[in-house]
Amino acid sequence: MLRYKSEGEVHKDFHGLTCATLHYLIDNYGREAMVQVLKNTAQKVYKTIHEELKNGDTAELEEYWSYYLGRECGKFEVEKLSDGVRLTVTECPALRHLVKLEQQPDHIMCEATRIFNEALAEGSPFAAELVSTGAFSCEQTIRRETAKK
Amino acid sequence: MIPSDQFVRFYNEVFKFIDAQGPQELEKYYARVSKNQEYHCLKLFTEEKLEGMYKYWEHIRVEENCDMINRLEDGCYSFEFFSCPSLSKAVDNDAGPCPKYCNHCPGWILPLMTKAGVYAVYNLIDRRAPRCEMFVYLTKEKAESKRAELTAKYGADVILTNYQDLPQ
Repeated sequence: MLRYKSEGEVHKDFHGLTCATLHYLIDNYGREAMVQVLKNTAQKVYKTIHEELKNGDTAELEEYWSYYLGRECGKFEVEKLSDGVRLTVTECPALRHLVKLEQQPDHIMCEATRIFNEALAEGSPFAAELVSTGAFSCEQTIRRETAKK
Repeated sequence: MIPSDQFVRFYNEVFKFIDAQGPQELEKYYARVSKNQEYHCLKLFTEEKLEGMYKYWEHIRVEENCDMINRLEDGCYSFEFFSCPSLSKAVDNDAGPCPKYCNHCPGWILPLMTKAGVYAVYNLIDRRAPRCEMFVYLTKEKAESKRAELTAKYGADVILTNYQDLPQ
């Protein structure tokens, strides 16, 4: 069961501030600062997802991806695998909204997602992987370590 | 992707990290946030003053699902948050809220008010409760009167203004 759920309107302009903040952390305190903040977010804020993954369960992560990408009207598919879960994003709402804000589709957002997913999976039987498949698309997987190729 | 709905809890972790880097570090970050917000509202605030502020926060009221009142009356724009969705999310959070969480709103808003040439008084009321209010005037005299009234009622620690450096 998802720990946090939001209802009502979605304020997508937060993607612009997320992007600016990631750059601010790197520019002022170094890349490790961005990693630390994302790690704290993944493991302390999303404690229940992190703990479930450590127990070998991907259910809340699947629900998290489906719920929030759905609320943002992203084009995506969440696929249960025999050894984990795959998120295929064909139209990322965060990168698309940056363009609406007259910004470039800055791939620091993708890097942050990769770090966030790895932090979620840290200490679990799973390994996280993010592969960019286009300007607004990617494939994210959480699979058992032994199944990695 | 950090979902828009979850931005606040990420932001809360950003505040904790930056605050631990030293005094005044959060203030520098608020200045960066304020610069970012210029894209959304500086033109509106500068050209339309109080009416522009009403339009901006009316948009925010709807899009951020805020339990708040927007007012534009007697030469004053004001808002009052009865249940701020931002602090509410920071509190409903397994990582716990940053004690300085509320400071970010006046931190980004007040510099914009200065650039727009108006006089603002921000009342945080209580940093642990999801409530606050702001009053904006076209004259320093009116703002100062409101500041004195609010300071007497709530204490100087929660009352902030932008107008110390503005001409009368």
